[in-house]
Amino acid sequence: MLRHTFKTAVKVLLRRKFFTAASLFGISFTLVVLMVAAALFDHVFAPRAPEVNADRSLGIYNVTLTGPNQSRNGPPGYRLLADTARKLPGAERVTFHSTASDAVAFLGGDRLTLQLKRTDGEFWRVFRFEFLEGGPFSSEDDADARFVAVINESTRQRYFGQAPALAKLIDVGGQRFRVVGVVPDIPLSRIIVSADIWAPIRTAPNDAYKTQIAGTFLATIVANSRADFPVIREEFRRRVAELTLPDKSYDHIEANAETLFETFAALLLGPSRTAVARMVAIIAAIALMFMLLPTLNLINLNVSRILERVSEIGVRKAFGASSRALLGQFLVENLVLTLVGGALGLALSGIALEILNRSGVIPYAQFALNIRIFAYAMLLTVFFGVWSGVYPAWKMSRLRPVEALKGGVR
Amino acid sequence: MIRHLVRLVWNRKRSNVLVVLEILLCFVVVFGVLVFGVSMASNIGRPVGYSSTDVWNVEFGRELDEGGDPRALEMTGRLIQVVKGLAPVESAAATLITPYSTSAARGIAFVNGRAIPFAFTAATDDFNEVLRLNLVAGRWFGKQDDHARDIPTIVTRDLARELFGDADPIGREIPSEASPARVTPEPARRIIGVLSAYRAGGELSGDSLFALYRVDVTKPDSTVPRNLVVRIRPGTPRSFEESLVKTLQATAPDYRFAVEPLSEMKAKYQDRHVVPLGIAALVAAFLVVMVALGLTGVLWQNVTKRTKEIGLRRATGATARQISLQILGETWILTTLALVVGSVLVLQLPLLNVMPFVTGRVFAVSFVLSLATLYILGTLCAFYPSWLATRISPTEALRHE
Repeated sequence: MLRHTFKTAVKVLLRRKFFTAASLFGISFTLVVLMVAAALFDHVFAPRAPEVNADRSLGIYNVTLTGPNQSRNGPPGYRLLADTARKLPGAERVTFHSTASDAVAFLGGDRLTLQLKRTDGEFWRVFRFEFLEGGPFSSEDDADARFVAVINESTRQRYFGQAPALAKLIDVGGQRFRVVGVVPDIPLSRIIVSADIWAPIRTAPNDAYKTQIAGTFLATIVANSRADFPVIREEFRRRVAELTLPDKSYDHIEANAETLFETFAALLLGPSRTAVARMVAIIAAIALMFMLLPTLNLINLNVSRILERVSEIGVRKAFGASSRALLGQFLVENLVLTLVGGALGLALSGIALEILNRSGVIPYAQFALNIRIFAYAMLLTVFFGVWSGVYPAWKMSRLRPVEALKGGVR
Repeated sequence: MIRHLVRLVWNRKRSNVLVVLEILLCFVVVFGVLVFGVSMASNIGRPVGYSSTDVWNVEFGRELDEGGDPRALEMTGRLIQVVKGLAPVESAAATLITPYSTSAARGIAFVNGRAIPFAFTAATDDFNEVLRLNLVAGRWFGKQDDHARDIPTIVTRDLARELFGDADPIGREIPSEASPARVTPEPARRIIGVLSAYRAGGELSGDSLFALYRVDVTKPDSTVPRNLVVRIRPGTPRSFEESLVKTLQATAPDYRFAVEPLSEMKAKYQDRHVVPLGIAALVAAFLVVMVALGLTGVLWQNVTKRTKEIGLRRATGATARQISLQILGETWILTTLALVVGSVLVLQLPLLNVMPFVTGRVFAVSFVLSLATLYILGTLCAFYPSWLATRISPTEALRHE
């Protein structure tokens, strides 16, 4: 029986090819855009190795200095972090690390630029890297300013080809490091941790950073749990307020312990308490606006298609089909259409992401399909498909056969 | 005729509401993309106020050091001298911010309690020569400004107008916020010259408020530049980069230097701005195609369902042309309805000042373009169904059940 209904559904869909194609185009295209957007979002914000603790982490990523004539904002300096971010109540761990910066290396006559990041030993406990060779450097390595470094797979490939890199020496930015570990490539969109080479902070060629309020450092604080966020934020804000500013061009400082998403919202919408709520509202509004159009399109197509089949319903009723049987038929028809659209959308999304991955727009990026978002999107599609395709059919199936045969409802 | 069509549309209002809503949303999407595109396009034609051909940028400084080096200013002066001594170099200067870079500096002026933000950079003498800036009033800063108490400042014509209206800005200072609590007042930003233009945000941005402060390498509290801009002689090969870096490195062994021609920075800058718009335009284009397919389907179905009505009109003497005009006319009425509502929505944007960067002209152009797009879209969608309608023969139609 089910097989029969299914076959009928396919036949019906093939009969009006234009309508079927238009519906499929709408469904699959909408899914592709949603899936690609979700993949990009996940790529930056979702907790994923090495940022395994991202959901209970706060960061200090941005400070804003304001003076009477100018303002500046950017990453905090080491001194600000050292004075305010150590031993915060409710924090399990804290790590200080510099933003990745260009370091020039000469390799067999070729000049190449590597992204160099200076970190403390805690960095490797806050973030869990998978090690292909060796392991991380420790807090003692940092304290003693030992010239050791962790490199990524691509850097190993460039320097040593297929050979293991452990304990070998590399020259970068005028310094010579001994390789203690090799990790897989981390995409650049993981802006907090990504680099080509990681070295201890105290191996820096100068110690100017120690005096800076605004500079090139980031702090990541892992809280015991999310419940400790308010305590950490409050204490951090109190400590920042007590700072004295050495640079006389500025008389006000604003810095907060924030999640990465909060930092983005504040950067885009200006620092305020409502920035996150507004950011979420804006994203939701864009997504809704984007979904609304395909939904209306689907509804319009469905309603049109059903109206065309009024007389078919009349004939079937005249020959004794029950409302229930008719309902079942339309339901199956719609589900088949939606599922085919969904499968098509999933396949196209996969292709689109694969193209993105290969294009190297974001170095070392591996975008993946977010199945949860896909499930939500499918659920919505099925809901609107059924609502717009089956509800009018159901109304018509309750007509008396004579009326239906004559053309039915307006 | 039009009243008749309106009545026909009104009779089928239930199914038409959804169609109108779809056209309305499509209009909003098209307008949204167009307003950004037109805004960018309208900015491209205007002069930026500087020349980027044959200019190289050299970012310099110590690693992890944001201006903490006490020798930084002295070193800057020496680096400029050394670079100027190289044969392929025409001129060189140091600046805080180079055009097309990702960093920006924001200054604030206060006029009648209102804060006016503007872009600024601080640069050494000869910056005007390297970037070929165009002075329209006053003078450049130079040696004679050494040891000046104030900061010699050059502003764009637009910033001068914003601050002082039509009054002569030369000799006045950029007004700061009155702050009695400050013990050591900031030195005054004294205006000595006016530029025709300097768009710090590049060709694609509409920003035209800009100030240029003088960097005095002999004054310890002067702003520390982070970039050298070097005008090289035309035809100098890229391989000059190596000897340039070597020379710089010999002067400042613990500094790092990153060379990039301004033309390359400009290309990257354009990618950064155009690619997101391109993606949005691509998505919008797909949406429009989807709506076109959907609308065609709906109108097509409409025609098939109204075979009898159309056949009757043909039988009473309507020509094929009249029939096709009826179908097109109905679509135009639906489109107009949607666009009237859409216009009311979209006109809220300038009224609420949601997009301050969009000028009246840009708004008007993108508005008209979106209207035209939607009318063309509606007409294209109605074309095939209206042709189908003319093929209906009265005899068959009247038998049609």
